[in-house]
Amino acid sequence: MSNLRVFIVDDHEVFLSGLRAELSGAFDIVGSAADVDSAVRGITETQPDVVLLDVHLPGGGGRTVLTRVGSTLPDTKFLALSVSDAAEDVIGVIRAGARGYVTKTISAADLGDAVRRVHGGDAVFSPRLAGFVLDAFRSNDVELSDAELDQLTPREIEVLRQIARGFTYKQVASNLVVSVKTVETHMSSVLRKLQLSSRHELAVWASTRKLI
Amino acid sequence: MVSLRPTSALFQRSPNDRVMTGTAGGIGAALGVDAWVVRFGFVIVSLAGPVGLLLYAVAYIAGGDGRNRRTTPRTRPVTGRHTLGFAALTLGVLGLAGNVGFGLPPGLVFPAVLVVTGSAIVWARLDDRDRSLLARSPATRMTFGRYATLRLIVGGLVLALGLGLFLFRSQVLSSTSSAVFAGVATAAGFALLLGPWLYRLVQQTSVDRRERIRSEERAEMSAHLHDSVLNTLALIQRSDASSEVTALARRQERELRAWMQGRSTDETQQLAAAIEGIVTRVESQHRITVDAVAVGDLGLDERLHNFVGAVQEAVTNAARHAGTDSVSVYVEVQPQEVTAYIRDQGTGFVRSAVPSDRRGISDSIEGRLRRMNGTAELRTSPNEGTEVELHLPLLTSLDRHHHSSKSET
Repeated sequence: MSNLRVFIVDDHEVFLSGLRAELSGAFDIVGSAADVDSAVRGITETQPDVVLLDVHLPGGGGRTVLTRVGSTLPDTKFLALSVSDAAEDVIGVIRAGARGYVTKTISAADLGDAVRRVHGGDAVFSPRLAGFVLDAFRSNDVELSDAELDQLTPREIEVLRQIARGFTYKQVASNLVVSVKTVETHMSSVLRKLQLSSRHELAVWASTRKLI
Repeated sequence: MVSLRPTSALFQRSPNDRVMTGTAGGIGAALGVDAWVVRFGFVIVSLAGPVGLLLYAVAYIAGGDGRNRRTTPRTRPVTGRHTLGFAALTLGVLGLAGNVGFGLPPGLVFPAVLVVTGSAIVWARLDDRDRSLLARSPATRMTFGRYATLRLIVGGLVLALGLGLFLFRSQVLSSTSSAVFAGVATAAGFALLLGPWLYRLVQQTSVDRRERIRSEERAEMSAHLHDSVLNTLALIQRSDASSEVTALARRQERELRAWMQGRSTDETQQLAAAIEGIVTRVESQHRITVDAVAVGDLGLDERLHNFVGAVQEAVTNAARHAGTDSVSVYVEVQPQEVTAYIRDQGTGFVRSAVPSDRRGISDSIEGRLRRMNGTAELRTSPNEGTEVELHLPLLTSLDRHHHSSKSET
């Protein structure tokens, strides 16, 4: 099996070359870009398997890259990578179509693992992202949101809580006595709800946290 | 004072003590008399004939420009004294014109002074706008706004009165072209009233625009700066730097991020901030990483302070005894209760094997929670890591009332 083809988008030069060096052993780095326009060009040309996408970019940010190429390349998966950890950035890029989010302090081994999982169709949630999602879907007023997409099932909340507590998917599966596959299905469903929900609170929640 | 200045001029026009050009102020300072005496002299002489104005003009030219020594900002508010100065100058000019013979009949002097004074009163509000630009608090704006409106009304009335008198006394209203003349006069009045205001409004808009562009640039600049600093800090944490350097980078990253997101960092007020505080303390004391995730937030009361204390004890225990390099903390505020999970993947232990004199768990964690009707559960076994689970029921307002009345008895 040939290596996964990875494209890196990051405007921090040193960080980019660091990522390149770390990942080049296990992956085929097909290109990199430091701003939105060249990222859109490069990704369209190379059609990579996975794009590592920095949330903050000159020219509009990772979200703009996703809105411009995300729908045209259904086979390319996007994994958001950020130093920001600001809730509205993270939720924003996920809602634009990223399959997961990791912080830049992640170890090289974990990052490689995340790239492979995103490519396999999984949703990659850091504990912090799980926390954001729980926060965003917290409902004090259940009657107001009746759409199925606007609610997390109790099981999904349980899985999210475990991930927020720092458990890996495997550990969550064993804690809840289910298969890893089931955990993955739950998380993909959470990701879908996060992307498709028109939930009023989600928009309000994101905008009230936009403090900068 | 003036003689000390190395200048060929007889005196310096005063940049600070001035009604019009500062000439009187300068002469006053040079002669050692109050500037108002000089001003009064100028007015009287001007009223008597053109000599006064000529004198003033000569004095103005003779005086050195004191402005390069000015200490106050150049845009000085127009005050009541300006209005007075305007009126005095008008009187002088009209006196001069009347004397020379091509001017107005004596009966029109007073209306003309009224017109000019009215304009001066209206224009005086312009600089208030400048000032309110500096002090943009709503309160100041309202105050100045009110004064400005008042001034506009008073100025407008004075102006209108002047124009009316002017028209009446010049008898133009009785002539055939009276309607046209009245129209022209009204237009002139409006131009005097609103012209400067409109001009300033246009200027103000462009000032505001420049200001906004500048602040946007600043925000973008700082966002870029923060982002690259955060990148560098992340880079340090991924590198092989010593644990001290890594811990420092972690702490700075957290501080910068908290500041950027405008989060409260007052540990004594908010639950999330208190948890962040624990993370910072434990990381710097024990050289481990603590990953904390908080969902929801609450203002701290006495019970929550105790709860935070229990969390801190659990995190410290993990840092000290688990023999691992990371601890996960998860805190969630739910409608009925607050929960916390403190987990490490370290060595774990057998509870019964802990010496009974080590009271940390039973006193600082379990005892604390029990006293507040909460629960503490500890799950551990050798090589399986340890997880502490804390639940604290939140008091409803009814409970709180009950609680306080109970403690009173």
